[in-house]
Amino acid sequence: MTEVNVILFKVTQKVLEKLAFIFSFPFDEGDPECMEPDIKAVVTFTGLFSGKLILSISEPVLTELSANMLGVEEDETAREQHHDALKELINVVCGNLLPEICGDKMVFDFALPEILLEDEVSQPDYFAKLALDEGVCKAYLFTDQPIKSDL
Amino acid sequence: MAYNILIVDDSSVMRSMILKTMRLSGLPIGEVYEGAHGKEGLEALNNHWIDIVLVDINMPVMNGEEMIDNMHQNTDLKDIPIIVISTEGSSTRINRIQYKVSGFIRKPFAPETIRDMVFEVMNTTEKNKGEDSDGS
Repeated sequence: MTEVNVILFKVTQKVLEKLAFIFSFPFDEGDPECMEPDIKAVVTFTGLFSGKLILSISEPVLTELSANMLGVEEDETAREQHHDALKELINVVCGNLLPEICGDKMVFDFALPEILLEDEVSQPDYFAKLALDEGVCKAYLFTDQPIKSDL
Repeated sequence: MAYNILIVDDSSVMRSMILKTMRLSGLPIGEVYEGAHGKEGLEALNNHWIDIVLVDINMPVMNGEEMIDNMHQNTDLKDIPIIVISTEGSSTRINRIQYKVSGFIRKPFAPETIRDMVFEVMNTTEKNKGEDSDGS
């Protein structure tokens, strides 16, 4: 696992926990694959380097995520709120990830997060997979240049 | 005295989270106004009495920094306390924003961080008002 993959994992884990009280663990390749459908969101950024972050999260987890963020029961949440919660999640992950990788002096500009309609995600430059109680969360980071390890 | 609050964030889920935290904080809350971007925030400020503004930075139509700059140019709005709640992680940009506002909270936040910041800001505001009226 590269250093950036570790940071990607840790930041996603911390944000899930702090924003929505969802606890996660590294996905063990021996674990059974999650068969639940997932929802994806993307946010692009420019700065020291440019790129995009995609988060993919199992639908049952997304319902829990929205309910926890709103402080309501899961059956009280609507699909629109699930999408909004995922967009806020990826926004916070990306906002915390880049300073963690590059230091807090660097300035990055973020586009507004969007729900991604494509099923397949191409091979990312960096990747983290988190095991959650009711599914998985995958984080794909694409950059226009390799991230130097001395950043 | 209950405080009227304005929450400006493009995420309705985040606005609900902030409001829930504010309601649990014990701060007496009067009317609550919301906006999905800076322009809606300014409209609310121009149409209602607001005691404190909680605003995000990265939003469509008009971002939070533009909204704050607009408030500072308006004599009726420039003294309203503003707390920024944002994912912004660049110290360069945070330092630029921080001197324009009463407080800065980074997402993800713990509920007590908002509570403590709001109490601190409102106490300072009340104290300043008291000193102003003593001096006049």
